[in-house]
Amino acid sequence: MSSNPLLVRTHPPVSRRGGNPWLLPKTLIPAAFVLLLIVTVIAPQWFTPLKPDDMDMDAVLSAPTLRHLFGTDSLGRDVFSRVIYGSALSLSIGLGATLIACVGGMALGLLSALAPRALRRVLVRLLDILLAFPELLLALLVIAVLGRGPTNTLIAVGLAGIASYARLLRSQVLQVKLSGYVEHSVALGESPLRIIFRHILPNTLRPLLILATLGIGQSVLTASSLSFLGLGVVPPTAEWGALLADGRDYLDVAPWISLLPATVVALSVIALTLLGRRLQTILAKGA
Amino acid sequence: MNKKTNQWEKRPLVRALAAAMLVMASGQIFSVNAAETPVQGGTLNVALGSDTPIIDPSITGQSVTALIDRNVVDSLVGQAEDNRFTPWLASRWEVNDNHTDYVFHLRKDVTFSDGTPLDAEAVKYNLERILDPKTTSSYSKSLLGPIKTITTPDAYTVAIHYDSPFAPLLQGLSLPYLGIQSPTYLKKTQNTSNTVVGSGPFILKSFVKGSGSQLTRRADYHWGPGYAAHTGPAYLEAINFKYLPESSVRLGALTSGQIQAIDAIPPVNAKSVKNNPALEVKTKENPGIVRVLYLNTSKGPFTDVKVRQAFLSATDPASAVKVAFFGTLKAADNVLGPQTQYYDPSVAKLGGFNLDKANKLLDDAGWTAKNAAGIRTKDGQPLTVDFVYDPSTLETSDVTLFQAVQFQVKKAGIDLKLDPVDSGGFADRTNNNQYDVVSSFYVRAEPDILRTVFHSSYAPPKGSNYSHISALDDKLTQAVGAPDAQRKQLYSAIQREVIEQAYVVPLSVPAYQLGISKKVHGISWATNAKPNFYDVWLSH
Amino acid sequence: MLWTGIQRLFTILAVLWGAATLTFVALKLIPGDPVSILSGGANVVDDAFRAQLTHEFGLDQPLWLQYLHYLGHALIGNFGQSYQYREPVIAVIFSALKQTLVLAVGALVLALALAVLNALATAGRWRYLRTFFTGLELCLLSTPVYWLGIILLSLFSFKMHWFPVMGNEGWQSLVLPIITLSLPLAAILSQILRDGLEEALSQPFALTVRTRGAGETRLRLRHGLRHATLAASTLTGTMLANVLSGSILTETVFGRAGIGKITLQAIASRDMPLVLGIVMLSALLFVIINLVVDAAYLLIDPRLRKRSS
Repeated sequence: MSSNPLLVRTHPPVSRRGGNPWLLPKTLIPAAFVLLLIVTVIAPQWFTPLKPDDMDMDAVLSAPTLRHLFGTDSLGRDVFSRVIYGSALSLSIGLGATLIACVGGMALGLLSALAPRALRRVLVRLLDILLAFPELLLALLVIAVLGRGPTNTLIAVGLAGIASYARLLRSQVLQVKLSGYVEHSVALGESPLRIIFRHILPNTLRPLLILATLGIGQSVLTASSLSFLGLGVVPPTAEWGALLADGRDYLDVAPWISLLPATVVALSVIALTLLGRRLQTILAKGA
Repeated sequence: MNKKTNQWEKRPLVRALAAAMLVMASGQIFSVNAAETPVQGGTLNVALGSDTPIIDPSITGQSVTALIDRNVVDSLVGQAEDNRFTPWLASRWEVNDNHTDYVFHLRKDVTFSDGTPLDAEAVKYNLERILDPKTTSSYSKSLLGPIKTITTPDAYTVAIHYDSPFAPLLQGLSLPYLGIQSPTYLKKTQNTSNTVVGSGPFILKSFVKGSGSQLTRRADYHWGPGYAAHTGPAYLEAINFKYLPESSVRLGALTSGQIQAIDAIPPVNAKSVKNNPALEVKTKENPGIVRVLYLNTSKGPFTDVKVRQAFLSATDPASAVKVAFFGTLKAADNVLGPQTQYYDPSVAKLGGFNLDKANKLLDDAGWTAKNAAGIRTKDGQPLTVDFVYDPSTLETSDVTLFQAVQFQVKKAGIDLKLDPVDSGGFADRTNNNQYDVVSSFYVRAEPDILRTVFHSSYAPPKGSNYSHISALDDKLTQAVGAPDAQRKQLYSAIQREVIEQAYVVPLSVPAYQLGISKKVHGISWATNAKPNFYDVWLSH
Repeated sequence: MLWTGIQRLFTILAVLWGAATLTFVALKLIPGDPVSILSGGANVVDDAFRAQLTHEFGLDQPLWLQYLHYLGHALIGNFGQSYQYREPVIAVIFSALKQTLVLAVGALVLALALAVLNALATAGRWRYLRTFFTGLELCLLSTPVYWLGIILLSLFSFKMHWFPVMGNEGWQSLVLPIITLSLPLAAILSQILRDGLEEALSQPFALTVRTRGAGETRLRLRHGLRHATLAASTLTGTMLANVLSGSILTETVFGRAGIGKITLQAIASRDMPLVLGIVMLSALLFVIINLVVDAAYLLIDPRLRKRSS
């Protein structure tokens, strides 16, 4: 799916009660969940003593118990630890891909808004071309060229997402450029580079940041779609999409091996999205 | 006691009832047999897990094409389930002892569905078309072998001559890939990918790639194969083949009654299908080369026979197959499957799971050190082998099988790295010899399939000799044309050597599993382990 | 006016050319050649046959010549023959497109309908209802599309037997795939429409309309919606991309033959003519849709008409 599904709201909602917006439950709860996810990425071993790849060929497709909180999969591996270690991988892929998309998008967006006229024309066309590709298709092509694996999935999803960020940044930069602010600086004789870094970037970064927070969730979903199509990570790697794809064949005998990971995926993406929206609301009010 | 017998005698009604029940019970026994009378008509819906882009059997090696086309094209000869050959389009034939000259005498009453009569010229046209490079036929062409000449001594006799002996011709001719199509149709059709016109019991009404095919009955058909259970037109009025790649979707279609037959039942559901009173599972073990891991002897750690033997000994096919297939498939102990002609059961003792033996062999081979992950190393290099495969050609359970093997050989310190690629990538890696292990299986009742897989002239990119073997060339070439007794000996020796030298690691014996509604009767099996639909009928 | 037309045409051509070139380069970079794929596997190949296929596919020519040949043919609308299907690419694409189009259009229409209903009903009102729907939309967007499809399939087809499982028969087999594809779209559209509607409803003109006695419904439908649609139109390009991506996944789950499946197979088989054909098609579609949206913009907002000239 697109990395830009949730548009930036252009007006702040009416605040119904006072108090520090950072401490409201609707900020704290998603933030706490995201923090939990970050800890999972850094230290997955704190959450489970079992290893994600250890097979117990006698306890295949067993139901959840105290020892195996989410049951075991078709090779007797503990699903809970696969979810935990999988979170680390999926979130890293999501984060890395968003970083690539952001940085690439910034570069392309800035250039296409500020470069000399001829170059600008070409770059805008290039942007249009990239936008003409569905994101999944772009990612597929990149994977086909690079091969499979977590790093390549990261690169593929990242490259596929550049166009959306570039377009956003371009329109933001154009807005700033048109405001009197920049003209003022130009009149003052400031160097172009200084103008970019001191004036343009800070004003455009905010919407980009919010989009990025939302984008991590979408990148995770795109990466999992690739795994579902059989093009993402390689067995026996635990990654959210791969876990969902694995469980698909066992829905009637062992639904927990995909239902439970799917719930974790959904909750994580929801938490990230909510956090992103809260950031957006809070920062919009502040600005 | 007395009282009881008295009561029995005093109750004629009870006696009458008991007698009536006995009669009814025996009636039940008889009525089961009565239900075996075939019913005319009906449409059979079959869901398949794989698709084919081409429906012309002469230009593709896809097994789905063969499955569908078996109903649309007839073959010169038929092969029964016990491997003997029966008449079909050819009512009789002669083969000389050297297997260099074959003469076929055709039936005189056969017509294709477009009205063209079958004669020797039609057969000659079909075969020569396959041999013609412009047709770009590959598998069918390989089945024909090095034909020197095809002649038609009279209107219904075809003579095929080889310079060097070629024994597998009859078996090849019995397959749909050498099915006879209408020459009138072939001559006027530029592109035959989407249509096929033959003389079979069904006519191809439509073929939509990615969706399926529709077949309708041919009412005037009366020249079926000698192994069939009946003569005359097929019972079924139509067959619909649908392509449903998702196994859960396929299974759901079967259990909900929308489909009456599916292939490739997911092993995890096999038990529930068997327990379902409306369904049953018919399994047919594949003859041919079983699912094996080919060990690349031309490079890397597998150049050393000790490492190969260690890999073989570290694998426990029985346990891996049990986990992956839930008891629906057998573990393999030989490169050939038990249903293949000249399968040698004594070879089973040569291999076998033995972790200690594996460890010792690897120590002997110099892989004595171990790294932090528990993988053996030698001169600083870890014992990592690359297993390249294309998931689109496999079922989920196959990938589970591979992961189980990966886990097993790790205990001996071998790192089996799974390297899935798409079909383009697979062709690339195999053609450029960039792999250590690949896996496949071949369905063929003829042991000559061993030549396709182990003769040096078929090393990639020319073929499927993935292990890059040349040591078996002499025996394989000899066996192609040798008399039967000698063939048996040669193929035994070949099977022994393959296991002793650990060119391959046998894993599972593939089988075709047909899940059908109990309303479907009359399924029989072709020798390529595909179901025949000519004798099938549906009860109400 | 003419000059704008020419500029537009130039843009279209540039985008198409760029897309084709990018894909040509990408495909040539991917390891694996189609001849091996078509003749490999269980098939036995000899050198003469391989050479012949290579020649037939034009793969023995130097790269730049292949590129020019391709471009030249594409200009006159001839995309060559698919390697796998041995049929003209256009024929393959169109037959697959028919299937996907039904799905895509159905999903878009349903998504729009749901989104409009949702936005109209919940914009700026009934806090709990709004929160409930917003939450639902969030869940839909956070769940992978293929997952939704499998759940719907398990529930409604396997367990309850309401709908057939199979691919392409009749309208019943379209229901579940269309719903699957439309739900995430409906979620996005709802949010945009609702936001746009709320913003429009808080504008001064809304107050004016209300004081003139117009009912809330009429206000929403006639005035608010028009403003909101502007915001939605900008996303149409993204929606198209969503639908194409979503269709790849949905078609895989429901066993339908469509563009998604053809694309995956084409890339996997290095079927270059087919992949290029598909890319050109989506680029063309994107460009056309953009043009249509621009025109629609002018229709919806009269203010823009003056500005554009």
